Amino acid sequence: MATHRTEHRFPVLLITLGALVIYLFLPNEVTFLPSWVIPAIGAVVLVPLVVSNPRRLNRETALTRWLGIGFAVGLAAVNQVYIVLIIGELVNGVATGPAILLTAFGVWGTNVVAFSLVYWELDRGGPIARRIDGMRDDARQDFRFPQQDDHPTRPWTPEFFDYAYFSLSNMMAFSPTDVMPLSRPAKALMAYQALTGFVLLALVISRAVNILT
Amino acid sequence: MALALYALLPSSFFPPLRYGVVALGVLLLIPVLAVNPLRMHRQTRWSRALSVGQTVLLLVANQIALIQLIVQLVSPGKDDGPTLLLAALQVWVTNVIVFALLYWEIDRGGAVSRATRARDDLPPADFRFPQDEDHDAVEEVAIRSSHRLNWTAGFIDYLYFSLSNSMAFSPADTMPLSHRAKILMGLQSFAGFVILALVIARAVSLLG
Repeated sequence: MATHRTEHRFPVLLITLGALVIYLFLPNEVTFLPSWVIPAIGAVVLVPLVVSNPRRLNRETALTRWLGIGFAVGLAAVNQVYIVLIIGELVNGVATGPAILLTAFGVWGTNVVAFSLVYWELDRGGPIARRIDGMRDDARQDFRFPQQDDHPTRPWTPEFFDYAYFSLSNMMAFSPTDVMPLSRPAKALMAYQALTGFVLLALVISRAVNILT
Repeated sequence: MALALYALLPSSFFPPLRYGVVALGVLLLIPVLAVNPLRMHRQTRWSRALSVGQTVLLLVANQIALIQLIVQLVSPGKDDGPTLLLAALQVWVTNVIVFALLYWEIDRGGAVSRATRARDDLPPADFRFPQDEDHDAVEEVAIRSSHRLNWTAGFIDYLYFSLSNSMAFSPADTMPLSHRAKILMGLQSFAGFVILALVIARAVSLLG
């Protein structure tokens, strides 16, 4: 029996598709594959996930669980390749200023989305198990949200948007703020994401001296 | 507990870009001030709608100014440096004030609701202030907690966390609890982040 209302598919799908669309528009200097390949693979992986839970996220099989994790981790991994390429391009690149600025911005945005998906999939057994009693109840809690030490009168469970917000603030402020990482994998992921945001900002600013004039 | 009137006044600090918005803002301010000239304790449905509407209007206008500023920062060399720097500062400061006003208007039903209603009658909070969880801290801290003092946040509290959200790009002392609070804080800190990045990028070549 579900204790909480299960999450809706729509916000996750919308933001994920937004990230895939950004890949379509990355300029050729930093792409290592034709620009349609990653969005196409992503869309194909999304189909079974959407078919299994078209509206509310309440059914889960081993296959969809691993597909979901695979999608999130795969997106994050692909984005790391792009980040390495954009860093190379920033340090000694030949690309024009506006193109490189837009690319850095796009890759920064997809990094926020990819990491929020990873956090959302991993914390306490994933989005479905978090909201259903008796399903992986012993799963590790990776993050502590403010509501969780407020002694809630009704049970509170984070939704995708809560993970997206703290992923964004981790990427901008380079540190945990409202949400605290509890486990070592969570700390490793958040530290890595923050470092990426830090390096991208530093390099964009230092490169910008030549870009924007 | 109530709020002083001058809390609303900073909203007329608005970049000279948009005199129309300022005029409309002042016009909307008159009935809001007439209802509660000094202390915020009276509220009708239309006075609340007016003051929320005015804040949202300022917010939207400032986002338009922000977009204009970003375009000017990115497009090369049309404007002189000091003017652009000043404009960036104006948009940034206005953003801090306007978002503070909006947080102040929405949290737990607004300033009048926070001051006049009993605690268990308040709508669910959008933000959690440090005082709200201090009641089981050490004694000298606990005596200032919301529980003991029946404390609720005033405009300065919202202004302070709005300022730190725009400077540090993340919540610090005050935590967003609801999704609308997270959307607003995310938008504000993202705007602050983009302004800082672009101003630095632009300034190195302007001032160096």
